Amino acid sequence: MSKHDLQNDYNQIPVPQAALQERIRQGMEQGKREQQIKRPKRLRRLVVSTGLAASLLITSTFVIPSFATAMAKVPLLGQMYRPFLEQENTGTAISQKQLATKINQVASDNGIDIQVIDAYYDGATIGMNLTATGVPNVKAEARSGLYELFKGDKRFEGTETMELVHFKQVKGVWQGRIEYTLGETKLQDTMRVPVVLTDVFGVKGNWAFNVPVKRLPVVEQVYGTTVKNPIYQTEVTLDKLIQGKGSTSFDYTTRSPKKERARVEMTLLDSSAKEIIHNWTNSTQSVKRTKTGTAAIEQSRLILGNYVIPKGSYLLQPSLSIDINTQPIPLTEPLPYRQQSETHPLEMTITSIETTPEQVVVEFSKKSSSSQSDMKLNISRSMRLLEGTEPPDGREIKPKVTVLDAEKQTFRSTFRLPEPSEHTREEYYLETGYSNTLVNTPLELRPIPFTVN
Amino acid sequence: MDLRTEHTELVRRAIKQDEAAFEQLILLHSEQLYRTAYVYVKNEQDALDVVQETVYKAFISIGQVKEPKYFVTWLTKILIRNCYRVLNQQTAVADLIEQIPVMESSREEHLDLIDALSHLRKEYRDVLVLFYFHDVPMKEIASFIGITLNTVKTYLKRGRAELKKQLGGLDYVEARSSK
Repeated sequence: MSKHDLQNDYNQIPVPQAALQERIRQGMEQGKREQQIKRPKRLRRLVVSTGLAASLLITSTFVIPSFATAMAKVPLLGQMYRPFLEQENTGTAISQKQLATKINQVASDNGIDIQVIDAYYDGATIGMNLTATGVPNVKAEARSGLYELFKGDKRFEGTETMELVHFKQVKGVWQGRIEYTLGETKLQDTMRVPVVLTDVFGVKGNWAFNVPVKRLPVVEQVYGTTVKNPIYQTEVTLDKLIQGKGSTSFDYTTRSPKKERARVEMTLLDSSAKEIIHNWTNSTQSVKRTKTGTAAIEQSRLILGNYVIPKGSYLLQPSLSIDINTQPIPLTEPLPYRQQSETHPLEMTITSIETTPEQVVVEFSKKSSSSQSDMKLNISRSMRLLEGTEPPDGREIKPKVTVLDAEKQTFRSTFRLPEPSEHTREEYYLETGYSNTLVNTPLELRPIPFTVN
Repeated sequence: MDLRTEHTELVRRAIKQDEAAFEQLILLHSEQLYRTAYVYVKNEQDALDVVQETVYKAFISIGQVKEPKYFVTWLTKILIRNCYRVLNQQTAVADLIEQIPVMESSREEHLDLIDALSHLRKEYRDVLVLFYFHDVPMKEIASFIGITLNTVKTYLKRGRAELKKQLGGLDYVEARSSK
């Protein structure tokens, strides 16, 4: 072989785009679930979570049983893997109520015909049902298509308009559903939705549609009810309820200190403060975020698919997860090193760091200005020693934690170093666990009462 | 905003747990991640497994990145670790069934490179992959692997020589290294 171009060879390695996109999505989903596991409170009482929002702004559904079964057999992944939940789709309710509008647009390429059977626009959700014919015999992971909505339309830039639609075979017909939730403040009554599929069942091509949708009748109720917490310097206003035929959406606004991001989780309760449990995983999205001199104002929309809220009195319970940006600190950091938040009443101080060839010993204290029971904070569990030079490579050492003085809330974390240690003292960083603890200990605000007429 | 600034801004947002920014970053580097994984594990399914695991690990630990400029190096390091984990599993399976499955029928031209790289010493291969496919500066490679700059240079030199022997002449790598 003469004049072999290394990079050219590298770039010629074919990339299975659809499968790669799907694996990236699964990797992110795994990560999100892991973060949820690290947040037990959220899991336990979660009705709807902002944490899961982004991935579900567009839900491409239809569970593939064989794929789900296969994944469940894979150790590790099996426990983590959870397919999209069809029962949480607005389209599921719309199909059951036969409210979708017939479309019957067909596009053909490379021997595969894709047909948009029908489409719907309910509340703040648009969607369409597809069928595919002429499908090659493919593996389970290739039973999907890569699509893009609203290509080139600046109104939808920055939202997740490129996604995968999964297909399943029903009575010999491959079916799939595309669903997308709108993040515009003012929703239009009719829309045309450009859709292009570029990779279907592992076959590249161009299947383009322009799907008209008309919004189904909705009931909107405006509230403007605000709850404030001066300690947390945060207020949440329930602006509006949008009740569709197969979905319920809440628009609300959060005002919080500009420097720290307050993520709001909402729990829907009945009038006696009992949680109304539905296994929704969707979906809150940020509609608009603005900043004033000192405050960040975020308008959000919470969409509950396949759920129409009945008449009655309810409570919407906001809880805030404060997200501040902290970095691991070097062991040579000047002490005492204090971490605190403008919003969250917890603060921590590292008072000493001692290193020997065998171990790193960190002493710290924590205090909280709140008596809220949620303040049983667990910094001691989330502190980590990160090993490696710049950049940190993700290897972590967990500490053994001892309480030095329970009343004064002082602690000691002892990190045993691996033997023989490959690193010098300068090559370790301390993740204090402060920001993680803040995210994991939401601050509850008073519930917002509202009535559905 | 130039591309580099835009990339840095995306990393900053991702570090602050902006999922959309993280996803955008991963998509930007997705082909590179897949191809590098493929260079190591030599089959599509394992390469996809490696990418998925890398995305998962990067997602949960992105907050540890201190300097946005090191994002690519950091991500590649996670990827290569995962590649070795899969390779170890492959070896274990091969030991068990006493044969290494090779899909000869699917082999194409680009596999010359992959074959050649897979025959190199691990140290040489890592350095070459980082230097040529991910454009990581030598100084960062040294930090990344935990070796001195001079050792990186030595590995590059020996790795190139070894590759040249395997592929039968490599003007390209010599040209780049002299820049």
